[in-house]
Parts: sequence; structure tokens; C-alpha cells
Amino acid sequence: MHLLGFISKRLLGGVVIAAITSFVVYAGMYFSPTSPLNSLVGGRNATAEQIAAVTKKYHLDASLPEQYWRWLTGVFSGDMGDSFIYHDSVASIIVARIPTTLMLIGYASLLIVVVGIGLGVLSGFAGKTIDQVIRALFAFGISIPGFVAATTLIATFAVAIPLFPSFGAGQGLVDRIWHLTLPAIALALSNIAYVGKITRSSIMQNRSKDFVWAADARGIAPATTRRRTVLRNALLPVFTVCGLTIAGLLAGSVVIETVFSLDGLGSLLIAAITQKDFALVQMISLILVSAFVLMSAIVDVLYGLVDPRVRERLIR
Amino acid sequence: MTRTPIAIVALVAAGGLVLSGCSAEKPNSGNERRSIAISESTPAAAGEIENVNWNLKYEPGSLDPVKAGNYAENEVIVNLCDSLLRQQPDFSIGDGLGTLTTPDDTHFVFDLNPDAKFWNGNPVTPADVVFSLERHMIPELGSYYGGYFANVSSISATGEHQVTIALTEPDALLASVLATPAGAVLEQAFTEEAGDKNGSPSTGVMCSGPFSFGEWKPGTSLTIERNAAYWDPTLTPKAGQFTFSFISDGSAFTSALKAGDVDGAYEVPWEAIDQLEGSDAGTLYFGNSNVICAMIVSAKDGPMTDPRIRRALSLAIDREGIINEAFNGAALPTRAFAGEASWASAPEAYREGWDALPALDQDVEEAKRLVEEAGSPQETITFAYASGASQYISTMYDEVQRAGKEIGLNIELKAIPIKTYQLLFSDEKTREGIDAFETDWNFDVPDPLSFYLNFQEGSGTNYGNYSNPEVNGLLGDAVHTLDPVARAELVNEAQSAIIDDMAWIPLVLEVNALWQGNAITGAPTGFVQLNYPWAATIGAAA
Repeated sequence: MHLLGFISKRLLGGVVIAAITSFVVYAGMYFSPTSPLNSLVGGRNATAEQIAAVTKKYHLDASLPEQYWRWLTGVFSGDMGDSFIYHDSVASIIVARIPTTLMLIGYASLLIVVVGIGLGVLSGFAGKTIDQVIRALFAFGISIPGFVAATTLIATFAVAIPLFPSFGAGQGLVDRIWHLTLPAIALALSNIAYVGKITRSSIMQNRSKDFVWAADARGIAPATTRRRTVLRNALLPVFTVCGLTIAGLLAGSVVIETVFSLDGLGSLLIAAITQKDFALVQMISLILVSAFVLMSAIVDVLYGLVDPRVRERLIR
Repeated sequence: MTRTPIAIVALVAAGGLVLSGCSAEKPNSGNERRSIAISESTPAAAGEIENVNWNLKYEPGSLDPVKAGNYAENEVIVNLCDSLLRQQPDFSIGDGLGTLTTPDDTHFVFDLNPDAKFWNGNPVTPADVVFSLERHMIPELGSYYGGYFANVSSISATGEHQVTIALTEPDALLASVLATPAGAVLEQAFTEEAGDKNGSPSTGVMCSGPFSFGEWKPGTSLTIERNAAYWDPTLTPKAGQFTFSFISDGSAFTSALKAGDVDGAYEVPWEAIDQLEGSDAGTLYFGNSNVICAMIVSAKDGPMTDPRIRRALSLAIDREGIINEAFNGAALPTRAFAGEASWASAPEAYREGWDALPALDQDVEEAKRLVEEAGSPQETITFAYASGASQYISTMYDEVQRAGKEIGLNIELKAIPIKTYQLLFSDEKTREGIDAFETDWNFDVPDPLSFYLNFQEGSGTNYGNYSNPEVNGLLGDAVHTLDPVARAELVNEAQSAIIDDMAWIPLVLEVNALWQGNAITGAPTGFVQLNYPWAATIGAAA
């Protein structure tokens, strides 16, 4: 019951944050110096008459509260507005882009969690040689920026050895996974190394804790100690790091989306901001904020599953 | 907590810039003058092909001609929507949906091709033509071409297959205007029904061109399909469909061409030329283009308002170096702003005017003398450049700044993010404090006059308020002169005065770079891809 209470509290918090964010972002856009007129009238050729007519049509001269209210009432009546850039409804444009971004981030997250934690655990418990090799890999992985990884992967596995396509997001599940493999690796690479490194050092720290000596002294099998005591304790900070890392992928994905021409939400957001496409920026910001709130809630719940102390607090 | 999304936005933006700044290839560093071959055409297609993957350098904003006017939009629209007249691959203007006769200087009569039909089978009627052209004159629609219709007093159906445009005064550019997407004809019924969503991904357009609108998945792809019943049998498409991708990153684009994931593209980035010339995945062609790379002078005060300083800077610049280093050899030396690709209406007259101009050779001593004569001004001169854009921009600006320094000018560079850069062209506030900025200017209308009108007093694109009574008079007369040769003579005279004043500073004449993968051929090489249905002639290679 308390878990439900906890979740609903987090949801309520999320709604408040979304409401505040939507106004702050709108105001930020309103006060930024550029004008959406650029994408609404004919660029360098715009005549004064056109500018006046378009300003009136899109209420560009209205005050901030008036404009925000217009947007807000629209949203509550189911109309998220039209994009200035695409001259189409915001909903249809965003819906078309969500699957790509979601899949890319999901795919990369899976790689980070499985490969990152896996290698970290291996490195933490394995012998010296394996540990050293893995640590070298971590150092290498952390130092490679996403766009370098991306261009190298394209040059190697799309051009020189054409195993994967060089751009695009594909259609259908299998084709999409095939298209998103290189982007997901590029996006995940440095994060895998980061999460792995944290996992390893967390395990190392816990291995030298007093309770491990105590368990050993009591004659408990080392494998059991590792699984029950060391690993559980060690994974707590790792979950936090994973949660933040995965939430941060939203930002990192923009770069990868550009290099692989995936055109997900990130690149759309950049275009929308520079052209002051109010309705589009609002919706994408809200999606990003929701994703952040959701991510941190998931991390908190996971914490509870791993740490009995937290679980008790939640359930009691 | 509320600051989080803004932080993401900033991070995201920074990431994008870092990316595009670093993804460009290193320019060629050889010293010899590189030369390129200009091709008149590519080998004709040997047969039909099912699908062609073609790249646009960004995703179109709309397919509605009133919301067009830029590269990617026009490059698609010209294959969908026929205009009243049509620019040919040799740059001349011929018949399109209509045939033009001018009974007098203020009446343009178009006889429509009676066979022309929209994709849905309905005939193209004079009412559709009137409706389509009048849309450019509705201020609310904000048409890019709106200003070109300023002299139109009425557009009316004057016969079963005839439309007449009446003008308040003679307009030498109007025929050329109607050979661009400004003259495109849409079906009235469909367009009215579509309303604000006409041309959008979900709605598309209804036109009569060689290809019809297929499917547009925002952010992913846009397909157009063969119109097997096309009314002009000489341009029945050889490809079943074209699938457009929108790869904007230079190195990603090059990889896609080399890997064969994309069959072809215009506007190949200069940084990619070395790599593509060495690739066996296809062939790189260069055609003539009217795109002029120039510094637009926008200064309202300070040293750049002095013609001697502008002349000096122009003399100090090493244009050969820019061609070699920034453009990897794929550009031509220039003497003015309107190159050969815009001369089709009077080729010999424009050639004479061009040849009479001095070559823009580097002469540092004369440049220094001019600066001294102008009193060696020490005020800061600010040049804006697009940061995060292609490498050639930075290479070029390095040279311009170096040239300025050499002759004692104090030039500072101001970075403007690439996505905001285009605002310089339309937003006066963005131009504040900026004395000059670079442009790769493509002519809206394939006629030298359309470019030189930028220098007429009162023009919205006369960014530096350049004012020369002689030029004003000549251009004013040229606009009213329908005879192409007589007009060319007036334009030549104005051109000569504008170059003498260095109102803007021409750098190099660009070429049209076209890539065709091994599977396809037949694309025009000249810069007509924004006015001519280029996709119709592309088919399978032998």
C-alpha cells in the first residue's frame, strides 16, 4: 500500500514539475531574441505586409500570459497546436519520432546495464590479469566521445565492412534493431565503461568492508558472501549511476541521431528551438521532463527491491 | 528541479555544435591550383529503375509552393508540381503547363496545355492557375515569392485553356519567376480542402507533375511515385519512385554515398570531394551554377561603408587559395555576382559585360595604398560566420581575416550558430553590429537582374543600404525592359558600377556538385534542380 502511495506521490510531483516546466520553457522561448517569423514568411524576401499579416494570424504580438493561456487551453481541449516548421499538428510529428528515440535509448540502456555491470562485476571478482585488461578497456571506452565512436563505427562496419546500414532507423522490429545497432553501441560505449568502472570500484570497496571479514570468519562460503553481501551492497550506488546515465542518454542521443541521420526527438528539439516553434518545443520538453521523473522513480523503486532497509520504509 | 529541462536543452545544443564542428574533413592542403571538369550532362538513362534513394541536405518544411523557396523544398516540389513555364537543363526558359505570348508589355497570356491533368485525373483548368498564382499575393500565407507579384494587377481566366496576367507596369522578371515553383499550379479543390495543412507530411499536395506525392514520414523519409499518365511524354519518369533521405551531417552523408545506401544527391559538400572522387561507388559531376559565394556588406557605419576599404579588402583576398583550400578545387574564379548559368536570356550580351570587367586578382600593394588613402581606419570590423557549419566556411573566413590583417584592417570574427545564421537574412536585429557576413546566394529567379536588384535603394535585401543613383536608374529601367539584349546592356552597366563600388564582395562562383551512384544516371548537371523536374530523367545505368 505504501508503495502505491509512494508512486502516486511521485506522480503528483511529476505533474507539478511538468506544469512549472511548461511555463518556464514557454517564457524562455518568448523572451529569446529570435522570431518564428523566419519560418512563417519567405525568409530574405519577406515584405512588411506579409510580416504584419502573419504576426496577426499566429498572435505573435500577444503578451506572454495571453499566448501561454492560448496554448494551455488548447492542450486541455486536446489540441497540442500546430508546428510552425512543419505546418502540421505537433502530435502527428512527435508520434512519428518517438519510436526511434525510445528504441535507441532502450537498446543503449540494455547494453549499458548488461555489458557495463557485467564487465564491472567480472573485473571486481576476477583475478588480476582479467581485471587489468578490463580496466584498460574501461579507460579506453571512457575517453571516446560518442561522435568519434559513431564515425569510426560507420567507417568500419558500414563502409569498409558493410555489415550495417550507414544511416536511417529502419522499419519493423528486426530491421530497426539492425539499423540501430551501431548507433546504440556508439551511444552506449563511454557509458558502459563508466558504469563498469563504478561497479568495479564499488565492489572493491565492499570487499574490504568489516562485514566481509566477519562472514568469512563465520565460515560462510565466499560465493554466498559475494552474492548476498558484497554484490547487493555494491549495486546500490550503481543503480543510481545507471538511472542518471540512462536519463542523460536523452541528451547524448541528439549527437548520435545527427551522425546516423535518425532524426529522433533530440534533433527535432534543436530545430524547434532555433526556429522558435513554440508548440513543438513545449511538447518535447514535457516528454523529456516526464522521462526524467519516470526514470528517477524507477531507480527509487529498484533501490527498494535491492536494499531491505529502503524496502521496509516503502512497505511499512 | 525546474531548471533541469533547460540544462538538457543547453547540453543538447552544445553536443550538436561540437558534433558538426568536428565532423568535417580536413581540406586539401596541396598548393597547385586544382581544376575540375564542368559537365554539360550525365549519360542518358539506359532503362527503368524501381527505386532511387536520393538525399536532401535537410528535411523540407513543406511541399506547398507558397511555403517553399529553399533548396530541399524546391528540389522535391519541382518534380511534383508543374509551373506555367519551365527552366530547361541548359538554363533557358521554355514552355511548361502553358505557352507564353505577350501582346503588349503589360499583358502576359498563357495558353495551357489541354492534355495536362492532375494526378487524380481532373484537368488543369484556368481557375486552378488563377487560384494558385493568387495565393502568392495573400500576405497571410507569407509566400517567399510574394514580392515578385508586386506589379500584378489581375490574373484571370480568358479562355477555356487560357489565363492572362495584367500588370500595372512592365516586369522583365515575371516570366522567369513563373518558371520557378512560384508558377506552380495546384488543384484548387484539394488545396482549399487541405487549408493550412496543404503541403504538410500528413496531407501532401495535388499537382500535375511527373511524380506524385507518396508518403512522408517526418524525420525519416519522403517518397514520390511515378505519374505514369504524365501529360508530357518527353518527361515520363524512368524511376518507379524516389525515396528521399535527409542526411545533413557531411561525413555521415559521404559514408552513405560510399556505402551505396544513397544513390545520388545534389549539393555534395566540398569537404567530401576528395573522398568521393577516389570512390568507385559512383561518379561525381560538376555543372555550372549561379550560386555565388560572397561577403554581404551590411555595415551602416564604420570603415566598411567606405568603398575604398571594400575595394582594398577585395584586392587583398587570395581567391585562388579559397578555391583550392575551402572548396577543394570545386569552384570557379569570378568577376561579378551573376555567372554564366544566369545568362540564358542573352548569353552574348552578358558574356561581353563579364569580359569587360577586371579579373579579381590579388594585389596587396594596391590594397594597402587604398587603406592608407582612406585614412587607415582602426575601428573594429565585425564579420559574422556560421559556426558549426561546414569546414569550408572557417577556411574561407580565416583567409578573409588574414587578408584584412595584412592590409592593416582590424577584422573580428563573430560566431553565430548555423541554425540562427539564416536569421541574418531576414531579421534586422540579428544584423546589429555586424559589418559583413558570408552567403552562398542562389538566385530565386534565373536572371542576373534578380540578383542585382539587391542593390537597388529600398530593396529589403539591400542590407547595407547601398545607394548609387546611377545604379538605381539603370536597374529601374532594366526592370521595365522586356527585350533581353537591351536589358542585358542595362544590367551590365549597373553590374560594372556595383563591382567598382564593391557594394558586396564576390569571392568565388560555385559549381553544382552532383553524385550519381553506379546504379543510376541521367540527372542534369547544371544548377536547375530547384526549377526543373530533374528526377524524371534519372533511370538505370547501362
